[in-house]
Amino acid sequence: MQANKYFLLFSNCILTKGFSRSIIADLQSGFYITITTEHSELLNKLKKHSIKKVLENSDNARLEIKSFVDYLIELNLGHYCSSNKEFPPINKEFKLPYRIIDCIIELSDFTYKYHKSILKSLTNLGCQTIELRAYHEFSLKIIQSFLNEMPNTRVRNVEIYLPFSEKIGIDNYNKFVMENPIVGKMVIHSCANNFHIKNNSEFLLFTKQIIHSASCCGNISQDIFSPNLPSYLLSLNANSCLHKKVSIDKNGDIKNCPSMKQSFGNIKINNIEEALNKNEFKKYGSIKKDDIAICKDCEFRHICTDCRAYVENPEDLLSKPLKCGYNPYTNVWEDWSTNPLKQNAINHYGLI
Amino acid sequence: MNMESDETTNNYIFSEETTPFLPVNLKYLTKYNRETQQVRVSSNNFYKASTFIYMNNFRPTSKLLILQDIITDAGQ
Repeated sequence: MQANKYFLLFSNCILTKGFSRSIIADLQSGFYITITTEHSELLNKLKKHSIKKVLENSDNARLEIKSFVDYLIELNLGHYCSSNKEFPPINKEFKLPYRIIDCIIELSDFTYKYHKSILKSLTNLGCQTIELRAYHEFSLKIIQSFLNEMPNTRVRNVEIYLPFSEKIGIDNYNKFVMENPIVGKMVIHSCANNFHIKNNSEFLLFTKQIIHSASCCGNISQDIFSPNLPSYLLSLNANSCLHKKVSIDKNGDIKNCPSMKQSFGNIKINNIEEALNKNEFKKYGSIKKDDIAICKDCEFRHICTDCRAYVENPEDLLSKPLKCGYNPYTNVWEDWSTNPLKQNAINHYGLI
Repeated sequence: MNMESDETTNNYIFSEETTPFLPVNLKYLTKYNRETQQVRVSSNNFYKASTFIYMNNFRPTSKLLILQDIITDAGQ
């Protein structure tokens, strides 16, 4: 250990303190580690004072401090330096030139009828990711006609959710993904329990999960954590799910999210830009994780994605997401659906 | 192969790599499909490589999927 020096986390490695523990998220490599509150306080001391000075004031913890610093160096999360002034924190502003980041479109005959005008509007708004969802069997040919329009848009990534169809078969799903490189993820849901596949692909996923409606959305777990810079900055400044998001449901209604009831127009008579300008539409986009009850005490709040469609108290705009089973006070993940305190909200939304 | 002159280029990495994941750009992970000769960024979150604003969305577009229900070739 270089005692005369300072130890700093790299600027892209962010410490987030929770109620009973903290995390360091490496926003460049896309991973995080959990550390104790004592270790996060130690990092704050190391930021202000040289290692030598910190050691002098912690006689009994010398070995522990050394092994902690070695551990962070090994993970490439921090570095020694001669001055603690040379590495300023990253700029925490979040600015994107696009009015829309991503759009969810529920597939139906209706949305297909208007797909060219939807994609034209989304292009004007700068949308780069589109999720196409079907809860019931849907023709790959029709989805292909959506994809054929993509070269005329600014979309770079299309994610597709479809129920499994014996008529289409695994080989045709594979072929479809291979022939359309713009498809970043294709999920074939509602597969039978005895369904088998020979080879895994990251772009084509098969699941036995039954996705029957928009009410299946909103699942919060460690799997959806996004330890990356834009996601972190978004979370600090706005709502990590609904900011700059728009959805078109199967009836053509323009919404924040297909799981929400409130509609801001219909693509048959309104354009998406009109909906975005409504104050009610913007309401959810500005709710930050730091504003939300319980989430504001969670160490994962800045790498997590929020959900405003299903919340623990439907009367409270700032209530914790219903489908999150994490308790930041005990650091335990539990099944949210069996939590007795959530049953009223589950019944309210008719989820079970 | 002259590693000194070529070790920073993708050509060097492609020629030496035998696993499907290639460290093409520093710590970033991509997958190279030898049949189609396409290089794609690996899927969001599934492999803890979620920092790819250019090809995948930087946030989960929706939260429909429960990863534990995904069917793999090794069983679930």
